[in-house]
Amino acid sequence: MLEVKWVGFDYGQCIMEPGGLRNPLVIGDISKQLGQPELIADRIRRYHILNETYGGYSRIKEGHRDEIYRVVLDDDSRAQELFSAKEQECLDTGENLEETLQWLQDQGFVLEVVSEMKKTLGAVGSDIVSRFLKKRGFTKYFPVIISPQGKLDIVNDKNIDDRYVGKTKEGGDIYDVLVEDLRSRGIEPEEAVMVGDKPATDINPAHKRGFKTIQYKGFIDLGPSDADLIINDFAELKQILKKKD
Amino acid sequence: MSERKPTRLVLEYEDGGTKVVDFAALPGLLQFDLLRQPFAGGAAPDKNFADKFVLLEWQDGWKEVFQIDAAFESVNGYYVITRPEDVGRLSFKRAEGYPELIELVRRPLQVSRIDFTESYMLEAGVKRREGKKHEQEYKLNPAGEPFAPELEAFKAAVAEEGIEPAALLALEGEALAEKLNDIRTRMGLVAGQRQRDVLNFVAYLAAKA
Repeated sequence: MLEVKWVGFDYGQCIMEPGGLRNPLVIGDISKQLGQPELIADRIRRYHILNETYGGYSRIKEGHRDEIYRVVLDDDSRAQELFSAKEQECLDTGENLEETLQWLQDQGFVLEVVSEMKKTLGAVGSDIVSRFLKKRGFTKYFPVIISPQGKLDIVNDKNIDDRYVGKTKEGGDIYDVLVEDLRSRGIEPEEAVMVGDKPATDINPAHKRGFKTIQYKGFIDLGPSDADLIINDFAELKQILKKKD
Repeated sequence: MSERKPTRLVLEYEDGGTKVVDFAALPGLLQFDLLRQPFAGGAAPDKNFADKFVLLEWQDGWKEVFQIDAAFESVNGYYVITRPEDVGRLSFKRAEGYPELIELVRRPLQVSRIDFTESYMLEAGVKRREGKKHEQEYKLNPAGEPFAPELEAFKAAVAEEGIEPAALLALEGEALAEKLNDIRTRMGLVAGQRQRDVLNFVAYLAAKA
């Protein structure tokens, strides 16, 4: 049992599961909507090449989204809008996520998303993570997102803490700021737990700074980590987390 | 491939008309497909030893060779994605000869209506299993006049566009294509494979309206 006050969740492949995001569906649909069904195969191939370049769609989306627009979608602003909408339509949530978030909130845990979203194109609150949370009504659980873009208040669409700007999970310095931030709110790192799938960004750097860590393997198993616990279903959090007074 | 690149593609039509396009403006896969055809020299050796070659051998002894640009230096990796894909197969018969086949990869288990010379609502029928392959058959239940909802949607769309069907059909060239595209967008119609098909379908509805 982990006794904590704060629970941080990773976004990609954790609270958001991209299993429904199939290229023939997303790129196929938007190319057809644009009246360009002939370009589907070529766009999918370019997206595959981008995937090989960065080693995964989540990395492209978190750090190189502009290249999707430029390389895959030919810098067509209509295609970009359709891509964002179609993408949101196809994203799933992890197994038993919502009922677990409700339970965590009822217990009094503070919940925040900690994302590696490095680049966004547009105003605060229009990024993919914010849109995902807003579309599903999850802002009642996660009113803020901590990211290299800053600490984003997605209820009022503004950055409320510049100290996070440029800091990353992989570099670990985002967790240094998070430690200060949580202390100012009366929460020590050992009273906080980070839940995520990636050892290199969600688990190991947080664990090194004194956070409790839980590796979520419900969508993908990215191998061994320094995690205190491993879960395969978010419902398991109800058995292993206790609210510290 | 670091072979000679054509600069233009010229299409000559049977009525004597021509269309010239920059080769570089064609989709990358189409460029590759054209260049690998025998007519474009795709089957003829060119002694291009500046390129590199990849050979793959299978467990059964099968071997295949690929030629790739010399700029590529090493293998990044190899992986196989296995998914139980659903593919819909829609076939059409004719009096003589082979049937036509349209393969659907977009949510094929969720198709609800097929309109052709008749309209049909689909109902899940027999499900068969052959080893790891599953096959869901559909019953075609007659559903009245084909394209009836589309005809109504077309009438609503032209009214919103402020144009009569006859005036629409009187347009020519780009103006016609643009207006047909506006109407099909209002109707929520897209082309499955070729954009011209959906524009022609809207024109067909205009003739029927």
